[in-house]
Amino acid sequence: MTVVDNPPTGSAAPAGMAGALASSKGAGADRAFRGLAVAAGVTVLVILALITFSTTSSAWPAFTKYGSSYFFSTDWRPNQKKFGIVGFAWGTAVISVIGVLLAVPTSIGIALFATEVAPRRLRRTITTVMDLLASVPSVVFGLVGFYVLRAPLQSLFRSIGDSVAGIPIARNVLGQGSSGISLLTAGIVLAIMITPIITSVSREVFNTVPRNDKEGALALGATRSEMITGVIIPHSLGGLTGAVMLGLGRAMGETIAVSLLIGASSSPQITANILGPSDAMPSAIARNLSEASGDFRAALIGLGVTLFVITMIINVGSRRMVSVIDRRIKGAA
Amino acid sequence: MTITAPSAPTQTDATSVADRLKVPSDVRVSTIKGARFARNRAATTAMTLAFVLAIVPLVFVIGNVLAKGGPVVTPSFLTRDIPTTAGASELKGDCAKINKYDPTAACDESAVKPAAPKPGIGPAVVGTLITTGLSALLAIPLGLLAAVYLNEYGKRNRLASFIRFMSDVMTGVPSIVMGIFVYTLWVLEFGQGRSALAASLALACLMLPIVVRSSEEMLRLVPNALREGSAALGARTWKTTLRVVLPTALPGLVSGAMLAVARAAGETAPVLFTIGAANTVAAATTVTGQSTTLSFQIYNLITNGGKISPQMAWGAALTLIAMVLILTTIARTVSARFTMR
Amino acid sequence: MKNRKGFAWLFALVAVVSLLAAACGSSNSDGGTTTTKAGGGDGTTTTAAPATDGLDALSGTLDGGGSSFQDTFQQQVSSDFGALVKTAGGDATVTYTKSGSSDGKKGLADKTLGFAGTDSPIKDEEKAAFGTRKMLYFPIAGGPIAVAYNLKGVDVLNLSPDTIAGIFQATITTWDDAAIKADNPDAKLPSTKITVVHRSDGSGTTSNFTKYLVAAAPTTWKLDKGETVAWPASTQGAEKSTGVTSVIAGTDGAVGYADLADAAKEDLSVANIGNAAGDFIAPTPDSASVALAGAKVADDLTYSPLNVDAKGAYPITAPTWMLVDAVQADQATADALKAYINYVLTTGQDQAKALLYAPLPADLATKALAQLDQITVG
Repeated sequence: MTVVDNPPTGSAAPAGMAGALASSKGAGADRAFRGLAVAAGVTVLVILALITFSTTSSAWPAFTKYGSSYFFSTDWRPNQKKFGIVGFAWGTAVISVIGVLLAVPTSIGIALFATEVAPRRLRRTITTVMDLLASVPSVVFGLVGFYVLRAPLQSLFRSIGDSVAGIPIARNVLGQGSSGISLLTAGIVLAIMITPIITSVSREVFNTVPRNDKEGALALGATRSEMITGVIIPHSLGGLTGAVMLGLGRAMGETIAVSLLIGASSSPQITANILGPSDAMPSAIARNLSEASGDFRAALIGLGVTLFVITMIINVGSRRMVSVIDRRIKGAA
Repeated sequence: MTITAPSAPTQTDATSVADRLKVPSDVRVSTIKGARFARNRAATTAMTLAFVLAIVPLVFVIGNVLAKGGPVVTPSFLTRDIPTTAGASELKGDCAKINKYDPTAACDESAVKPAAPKPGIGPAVVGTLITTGLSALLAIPLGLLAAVYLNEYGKRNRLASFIRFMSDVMTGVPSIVMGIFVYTLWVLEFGQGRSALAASLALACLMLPIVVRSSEEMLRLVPNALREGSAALGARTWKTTLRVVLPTALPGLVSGAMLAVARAAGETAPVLFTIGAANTVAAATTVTGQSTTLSFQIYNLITNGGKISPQMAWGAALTLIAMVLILTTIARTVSARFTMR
Repeated sequence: MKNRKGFAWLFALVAVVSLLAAACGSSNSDGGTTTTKAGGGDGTTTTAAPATDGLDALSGTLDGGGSSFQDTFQQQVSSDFGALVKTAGGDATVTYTKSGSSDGKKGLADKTLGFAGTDSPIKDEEKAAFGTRKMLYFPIAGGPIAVAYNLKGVDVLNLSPDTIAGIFQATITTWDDAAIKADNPDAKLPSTKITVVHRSDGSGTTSNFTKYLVAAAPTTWKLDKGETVAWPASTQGAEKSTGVTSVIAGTDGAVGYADLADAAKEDLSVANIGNAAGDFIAPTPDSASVALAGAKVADDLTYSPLNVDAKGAYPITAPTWMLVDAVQADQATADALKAYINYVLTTGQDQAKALLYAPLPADLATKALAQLDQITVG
């Protein structure tokens, strides 16, 4: 880090140092403080381990009892003790993909706008807008979607459904919209919710593009768009992948807004029909866990564990990606 | 991704740029015309549009919440108990409606209609303050100490790197998993039941990695010269940390912690299974008893139907957003001051 | 300089927090008094002057919770009861928190609740939690589960059990389907697509509704019964009864099942259901009471009024109970509990009808009142 560049600060620090000088014995105190700090650091690990262990062990009965049918079946009928989670995984996958597909171009556009196009004044506004968007709680998105967007979307979806009724493939994808709540609705709201995080990571990535390269391209006569596609994007590909994966992880774990807007099918199936209802893994847990007991509870917690593992993999992957970029940048500098 | 050799000369970069661009050498900026110019214009427009596209939902959400929640939020709305007879009052006194569903009802048109219950979310306000406060008390000291270990002691050693990596991973754990964790271990396994404390534990789990990472970033910004100076004066690391590093980084630390608190205040998923329910301010003023929070209450109210519940949901949403924004703004102001120096 | 600024911020923060805390602290006592006042104002429909003997000696708080089905009723009755005790000079309050039947039973089992509201008897897997404790069921009311719909131009709709089964299994997909026409020869039915709305959370209402379909349409209904069942993928889920009714209210062509009171709140049309006697019966407190009266009641006062074969009985009628320990820890709690249940079973029954619940038939209420003597202190 660029620690050395920082100008010497304030007058309070030397005062602190003088105080420190006054009592510089106390190796014991140092050892104690160090021990405390190490303990705190290790506590983070312990908590993560506890989360993993306790959720997995509560879900274990579901995994062992239902085995492969738990992970590879869409047959979810709690009243008949059938627990196949594929339908929920599908719902989660579809809305996350919709969310990412919509959010990525927008976020990258905003990030480029902020780093390359916008005047300095506007840049701070962009940051503020993104901060504001990021700070709107999930449940508020759900509230607005549920009360304000549902009715107009319902008539929109129905007219889409009517107009594609005769077209073979479109009929299957857009045909079933009967109320404003659907996979697409949830996906759009997810896109809004993950835009701030993808934007802020992308901005950081774009800021690491060496100035020389950019100016070199411009000096060679490239237009701004050519400079972006020729220099910035190739340089940032890895970092952008990390940003997208981070957004994907966020989208998959999003619970409340999705729960209100996805349609909450009780046994979601693998379907291409994005205007119809379905359900996602976290929202199924949110609605049912409080009341569930026995195998049903284990199966729901199993959904959580599965989600946990998937987001874990995605996150580790994206961190690796970002840290490799980090190292490369530092190496080049 | 492969790591490029650290000594990669900038010269090769420049040539590769020219290669990738395939820019004819005689082209000059002022002569950019036709298709290339149009493409550039289109790209710029697209980028600007992307920004506008992000403003639209923000304005839409905030506008709706302000317009619908604004008239509801009053000091007494914020402190009054949650009306529990809302459902009953919407049925009573409406003889036309009662007779539609119960033809033999003895409904007296002239009887005094029961007063509509007054909307209030006092318990949720109190509950939010208590649970987020409590989770901050649990997570911030622990997270700060962990950050001190990472930056002042562990630095780049194995354990520190591992903790750093794991807390990064932990920030990505879906918030509902934190709820499940506390529900299975604390509420069910330990038999502690649902309570404000249980919800705080779940929120603390959510906040902890955020606090660790943001605090570490802030500690890293403290100039090494200060540490060295302190060490040169004979202070040991703990004294240097407590007397020099932490005070210097304080604004940044406060800002990071408050962002984490703001995040926790808006979360619903970790609270769902852990908090229970409370309808009165008296009941919600508790640590070990069941309580409620604004976010949880909004979620409840959305599905409650009727006339009063949606009103209350909008009011609660405005309150929650205001609360989160106040925390965020304070945090931003603090950090802006910090970075300006 | 910098340090001081930093600490100043911290102090400001602490000051704000403590101010907020103080504000909440002071609002506390206000909140307490407003509730009781509101309760007093609401108790207007009480017809006869209720007996107040012994109410002045009551004290303490009785916490109940569970079934959301009986929530509206419990809130009203407990608030009236509190006001009544207060006027009599006593000091007892009853609270009720809805959290679902199974949660209520759990709360009663680990004694965090004084009584549980439940729509279903204790299940086998829940028995262990109660150990050897003797539990008493007090039926407090019943309620019609309405098949509510939103269809422009259709105010009266008859549905036979097999048609309902077809609609909710998505084998009947438009409102002008032959099966619906057969039930309604005189109605003008549009070709609107049917949007089925069901409960997405585990619920006693779903359990009762599907139990009814299993009993009344055994050959057509394939989804079995339970608190959650595998509704077809094309159907829409919504949370809680009120969530279901609000989605129905906002969707032309929608149909779903919900407590009558919740359907009434959204002003929805409700279908007349074909009963075992072969008539189409509208869901009303009276027709549901007929079903309660026609049900076979077990010795522990559990019973099922679903699909009762009695003239004029509404077939989808759900029971609901208050579940209490037969042996109470102390006299004060036992007295409060007895007085409250007594109130619910007598004066409270008027409120039941006013809130679109089905009042208990006289003989069942008598049996329940007689059971009050079994509550002892030990």
